[in-house]
Amino acid sequence: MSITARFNEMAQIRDGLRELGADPARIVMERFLSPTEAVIDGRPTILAGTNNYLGLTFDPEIIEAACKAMHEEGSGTTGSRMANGSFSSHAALEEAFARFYDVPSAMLFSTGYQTNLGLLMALLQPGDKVVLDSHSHACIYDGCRISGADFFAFRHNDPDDLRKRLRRLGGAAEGSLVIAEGLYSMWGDTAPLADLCAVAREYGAWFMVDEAHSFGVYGETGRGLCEEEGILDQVDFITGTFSKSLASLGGFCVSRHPELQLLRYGSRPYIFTASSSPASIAAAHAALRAVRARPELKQSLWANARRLHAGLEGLGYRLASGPSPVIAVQVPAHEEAARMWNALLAEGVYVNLVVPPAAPEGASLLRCSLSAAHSFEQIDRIVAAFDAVRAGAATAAAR
Amino acid sequence: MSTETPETIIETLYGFLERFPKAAGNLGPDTKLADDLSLDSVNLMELLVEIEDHYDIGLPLNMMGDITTIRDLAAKIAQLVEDRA
Repeated sequence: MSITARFNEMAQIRDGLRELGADPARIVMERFLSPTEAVIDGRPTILAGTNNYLGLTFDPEIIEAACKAMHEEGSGTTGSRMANGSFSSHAALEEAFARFYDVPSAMLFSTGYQTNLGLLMALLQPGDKVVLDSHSHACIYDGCRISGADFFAFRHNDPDDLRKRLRRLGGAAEGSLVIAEGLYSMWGDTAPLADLCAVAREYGAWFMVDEAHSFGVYGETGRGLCEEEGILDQVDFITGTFSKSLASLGGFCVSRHPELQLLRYGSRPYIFTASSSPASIAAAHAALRAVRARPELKQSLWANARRLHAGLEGLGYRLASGPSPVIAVQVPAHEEAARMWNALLAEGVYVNLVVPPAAPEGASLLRCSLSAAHSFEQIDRIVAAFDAVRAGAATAAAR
Repeated sequence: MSTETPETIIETLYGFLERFPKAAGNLGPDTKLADDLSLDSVNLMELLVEIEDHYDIGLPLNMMGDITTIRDLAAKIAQLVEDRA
């Protein structure tokens, strides 16, 4: 056995994608025309496969804030906050998140992935019990795995199944951790958070929610699905990312427990990673202000989501969920999904091709993500492209 | 005392596994779940959830690193069933 054995495994994955004619590694955005359009393969292409939900990546105020921070604080922090010190902008953004959520504690991490990894690795230890939704993101699984805790999956979005699994833990359910997400990024469905939270409380378990895809787009003030479901005061840990609605790079955790601050002393992904750059922090802070001050962004996003969902449903496509900022077309055959993905690109529309095991429960997905910056004309072009690439569409048109 | 033994559990596991494409003619106690049956992480998780419900036990996902064959899995289940009893 050699360490190069895994090269073969990874080469098989790559070759499998190439056989499908759909290697996502080949997608290069050569030039941006707007937050929702870029040149790919020399062709102007509508971007319906980013997570730019509020469309803020080219917002003048955010870019100005990032440029100003770079001029005043430099291009990088060159180290971790524990080893090399925090910048005042890190502390200011943590205070802003704590105020926004009306909690005593907020912590920043360098990416969204590292936020969940850092929280779980610091919180958990061998012998602890975790019950997580089976559709959880890889960073949640990885954080649990590295921590050495015993972790169990409950059936996706099923509070009764969660109850069953907590019951099986017996006395160990008390003090265990239940994890769910707000908006699931592959199917675009939301969690029954209030019900899950109630079950966790019933068994004395802690409750953590990852709002990576739901922050900024759910809740009256954009604080996510916990706000929409009225459970902000009951959730123990809420995590999120800057790389979606906040148009930057980094992540955050907020908690109603002041002890969250202690994690700075025990979270290896926090201690041993360079802190977010001044430009990233400034951009996220400016975007956070936009979430609070510009509710019309959320309204535009939802109008676009409803329009695309209705359009695709009207074409007869099988969609994984109701209208949401993520609309996933389910295609049972992987080869057909790959053909459609390439055909959509040829029509000037970029979406995400997701094949199992990344796609849950067998069917491949053509995952569309919406932006407040999409125009209705772009949404209609996306729908027209899906119409054009349907199996047999060309034959039907030629008749 | 449970009536389940590793041998009876192995027979039950064959029933759970036979739906997977590479299972036909390929199921034995030493069949490797990942290498021989090509079960990916999602297949394994779905399988564990079903097994948990069948035996009314909790199978931690983190223990899968120690389990290679059907015999390994049956031994772990037998232990958990015994602990529950």
